[in-house]
Amino acid sequence: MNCPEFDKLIVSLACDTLASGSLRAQALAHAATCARCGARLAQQQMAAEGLDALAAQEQSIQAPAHLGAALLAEFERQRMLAAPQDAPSEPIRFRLVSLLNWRWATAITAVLFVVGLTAVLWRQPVRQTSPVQEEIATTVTPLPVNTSTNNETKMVAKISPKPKRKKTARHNADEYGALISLLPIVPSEAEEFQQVVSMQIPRSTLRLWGLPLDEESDNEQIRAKVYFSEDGVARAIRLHN
Amino acid sequence: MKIQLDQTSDAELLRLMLAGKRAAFAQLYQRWQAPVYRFALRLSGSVELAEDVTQDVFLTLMRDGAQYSGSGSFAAYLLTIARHSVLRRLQRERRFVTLETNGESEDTPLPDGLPDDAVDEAGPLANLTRSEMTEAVRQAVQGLPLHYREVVLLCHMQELSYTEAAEVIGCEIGTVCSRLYRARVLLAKSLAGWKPEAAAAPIKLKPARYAI
Ligand SMILES: [Zn+2]
Repeated sequence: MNCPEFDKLIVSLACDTLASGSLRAQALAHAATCARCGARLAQQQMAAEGLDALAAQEQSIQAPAHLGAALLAEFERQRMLAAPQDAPSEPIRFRLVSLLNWRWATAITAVLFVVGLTAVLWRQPVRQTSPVQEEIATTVTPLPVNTSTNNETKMVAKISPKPKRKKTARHNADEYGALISLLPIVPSEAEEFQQVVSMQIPRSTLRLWGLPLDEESDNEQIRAKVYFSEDGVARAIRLHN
Repeated sequence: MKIQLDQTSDAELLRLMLAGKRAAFAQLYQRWQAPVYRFALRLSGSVELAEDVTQDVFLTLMRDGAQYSGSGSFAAYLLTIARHSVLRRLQRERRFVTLETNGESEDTPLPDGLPDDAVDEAGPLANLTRSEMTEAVRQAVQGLPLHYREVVLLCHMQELSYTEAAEVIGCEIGTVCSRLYRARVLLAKSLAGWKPEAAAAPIKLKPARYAI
């Protein structure tokens, strides 16, 4: 074998895809006696060994823990949303909430709220909190994006409760505990929207979200209000007292 | 009857997940988050983007997981989603890449001065410690054009077969081999000129060209 013939085979030789054992033996014999072709083959081996060493070292790299918690929360949320139509043998069709739907829902809620509040004020001049207002009683406080690579997390917004308001007969705010911020998530590109969902959640899920609960009674269901951002990820939670 | 999910196949876990089993999703995530995240991290060079892409992949799995046929490799299926997400995001951000067909093709001659002369008996990495060596390789991989980098990541870092790598990229197996060969040549050249002090400098990604 000469150098031009070796050059034609080196890709398959380096990738170990040379089907013919005879050709492979001839190519290796040539590389053993020709400095130029031997160096080319050695290059390939050296690069491959370096890459394998890097691969072994990087085996320990994992996605940040908050990603898993946020995705599990999202899975749980979609499962809850799909539950009424759930048929045991049919796969659940997950639905990602579209921005358009949120905008419509927000607009309708705002109109209903204004109409309801006007009616209440007209009948009774005492200030009261409407059920709708109570249900969406959160504010979004933007925080600067943290671009530090050290903690590898990004805080976009945190949900904080509004100042205390008067209790109503239908919605007693004290039924639920303080608002607990869940782990930071990837920011959405659009304006922030929220939804509050009252649900029963297994203790095991709450532990996965980072809440300090013991492992006993993992299957026990706990009532909670979960606050979702516009991108459909749980941001905060209030546990039922 | 309690199912041992850690020994359950990916296809079965996916079926259970689509039926609403949270534990199946958790198991799939636990099994695949690291490979997906590492691939996105090294392909993009960005921690933030890798997080976004990992999230994309598993949200896509929730939404469109039923599209997985079950016959092909699950790794290739997930990494195909990850690759599309990385490229889409890089293109959108236009930070590192433009998706133009003016990149180096398999017919382009390799540059002169490749390290035929740099490969001495011991090789250029012989005098480095193991951590220096892996750092050198990491930087060299990051400096590769994107279409070479992805082949290296798929075949070496993810240990996919050439068939699986071709499936992810959407090209012929021969193209995978050819790019892998060329990527290693470029890596060897880069490693031949590597100095340990370069490790202290932040990695600067050069604008990559991507040949579709
Ligand atoms: Zn020769």
